Amino acid sequence: MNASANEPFVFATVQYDSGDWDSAPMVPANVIDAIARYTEIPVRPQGVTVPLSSEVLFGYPLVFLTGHLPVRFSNKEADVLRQYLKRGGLLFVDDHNHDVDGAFNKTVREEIRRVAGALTPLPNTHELYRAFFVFENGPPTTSHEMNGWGDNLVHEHLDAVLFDGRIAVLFSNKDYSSEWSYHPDNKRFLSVDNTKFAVNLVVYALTR
Amino acid sequence: MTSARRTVEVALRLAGVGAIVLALVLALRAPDTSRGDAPSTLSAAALYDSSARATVNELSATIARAALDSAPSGVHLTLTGIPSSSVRAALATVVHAGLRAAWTDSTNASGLAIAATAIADPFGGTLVRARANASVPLTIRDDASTLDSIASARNGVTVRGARLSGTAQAAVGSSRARVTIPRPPTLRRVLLLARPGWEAKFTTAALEERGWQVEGRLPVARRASVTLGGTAAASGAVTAPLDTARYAAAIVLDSGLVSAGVLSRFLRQGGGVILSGDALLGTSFGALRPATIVGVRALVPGALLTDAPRRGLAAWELRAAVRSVVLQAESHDRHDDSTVVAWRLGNGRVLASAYRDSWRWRMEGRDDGLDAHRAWWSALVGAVAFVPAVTEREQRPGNVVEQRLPGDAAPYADLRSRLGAPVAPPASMRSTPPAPSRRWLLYLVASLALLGEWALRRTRGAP
Repeated sequence: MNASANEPFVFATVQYDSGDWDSAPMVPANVIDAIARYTEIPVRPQGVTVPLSSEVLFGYPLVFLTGHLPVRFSNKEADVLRQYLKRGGLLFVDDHNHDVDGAFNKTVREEIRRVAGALTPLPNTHELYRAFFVFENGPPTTSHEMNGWGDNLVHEHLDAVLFDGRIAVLFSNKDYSSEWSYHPDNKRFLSVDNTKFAVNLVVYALTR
Repeated sequence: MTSARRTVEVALRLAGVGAIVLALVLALRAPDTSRGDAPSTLSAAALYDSSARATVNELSATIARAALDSAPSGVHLTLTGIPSSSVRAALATVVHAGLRAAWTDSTNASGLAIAATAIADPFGGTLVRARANASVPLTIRDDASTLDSIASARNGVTVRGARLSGTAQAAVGSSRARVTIPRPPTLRRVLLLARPGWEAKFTTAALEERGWQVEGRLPVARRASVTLGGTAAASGAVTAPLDTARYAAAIVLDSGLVSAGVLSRFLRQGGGVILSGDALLGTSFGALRPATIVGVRALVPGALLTDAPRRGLAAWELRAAVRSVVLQAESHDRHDDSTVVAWRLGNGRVLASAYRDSWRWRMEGRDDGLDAHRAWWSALVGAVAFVPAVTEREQRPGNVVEQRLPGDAAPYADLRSRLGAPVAPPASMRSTPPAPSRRWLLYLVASLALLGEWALRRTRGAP
């Protein structure tokens, strides 16, 4: 079910009651493909969807949350997420709007502050950017930042909440949900694989 | 009439003189208890003390006085408490000087002993083990306060103290065993050798959150490894020597990451090795393993949320090797499953843990699972970790004299080694009273006879 000595890593997407949690259905397959392509980490071919309101979440120490719409965690969801982060889970949140003025960004930041504390900029020298591939300039820029969509900004860094020096919540306004949302077979048409950063994220989560 | 009175007077005079002579003869024939081989009996009340100096002086004066007064060839002590180390030393001196000493044990503290061991854990702490006669009330304390008061069990009692200071003492009545509480040991790094996974991640997290400094090497791809801590980036199996100058222990979660030869050399230096999960598979560590896998243990669904959370973890079924020690076992279907087994190898120790996904205890267990998982992993590492020796001077600078007093940790054994085994109390001290002397009857007879003779003489007008 999960990554241990023999068990493969499972990519898990968080299902929450508000908003559109399933707005990036192609992301899991693409991330899984990248892990299998570049590493020897055993990985399950299919991802899973995990309810944020269920303790089942605790079985997946790395989870992915995305969406366009306003996010409001129920009390149960907030409690489960608070416990999850305290125990060592890592929540990766990506703003599918790529818009700092958007509803998703504003509301989910408020919810994260309520559950885990305020997000702060993650230095581009953080070990996350060297966990496997080396990203000298921090998080790789997405095509959606470059083409002027959303807030028309290139976000220089990611934000995070750290617990005991470890990333508990990683927050992106770079819209990786769109950037990685294509069929893995189409990677052959890219000059540079844009899912490499996902490998860093998974390797970091599995080792730190 | 007069002759009859005179006959009575003569008879009374003879009776009185005879009684006096008999008393004198008995007195001359009685043994001399103040000289010769009979031991003097000293008061033992002053021998157990808290102020050793005063009591040593008192003891010396008492023995000197007894020697001058009666020149005994030996002394007999009835001890209701174990004397302090200074007094025991003084007694040994007296014995070596030629005075025969025997003692009767009324201490009720036979076997009293104490030991204190620094726990190899970044949180520190001391393990205090004490024992005395079973069922004797035993009080354990340090310089600050009482730690516990408990009836001594057959195998002694163990108290874990987080922060103890000065000396640890175990007391039975007025008898005390003392030991200096050791300083926390210098703990070196822990090396983690594992493939990336939740078990590796949360093992590292548990140890680091507990205060251990963890380095690691986790192969991610054919020619790429993630390094934790300060080790140089490298790929492939570890072939460079591991050294106890840097590492206290190595945790191996998977096979193929380090050679048995490297671990053997590390063990010869005194290092500790933990083989867990899939590291117990295969034959590469065959000679090092204190247990072998004989199957897969069936886990109990839902047990993670019970008082026995480790029953809910995936684990191997282990068979402990002959010379090994089972440190943890879980009862199951009327038999015990060995889950943590260890043995000594070279100067070091190897521990085998059957659990394959202990991270679930922390993530999916109860709220206390987080701390329990940390403490459990820290205890495993502490059980095998190399701890550099601490010299006496390092142990307690400025207070070496106290450390050098012998026998404080086991005063009863020390007393026996100095004075020999206890003996029964001498006849004069036994509770059965000695047979009453009949000499007073002789004096009474003599007095009455002489008084009667005198009265008869005076009443007849004789002088």
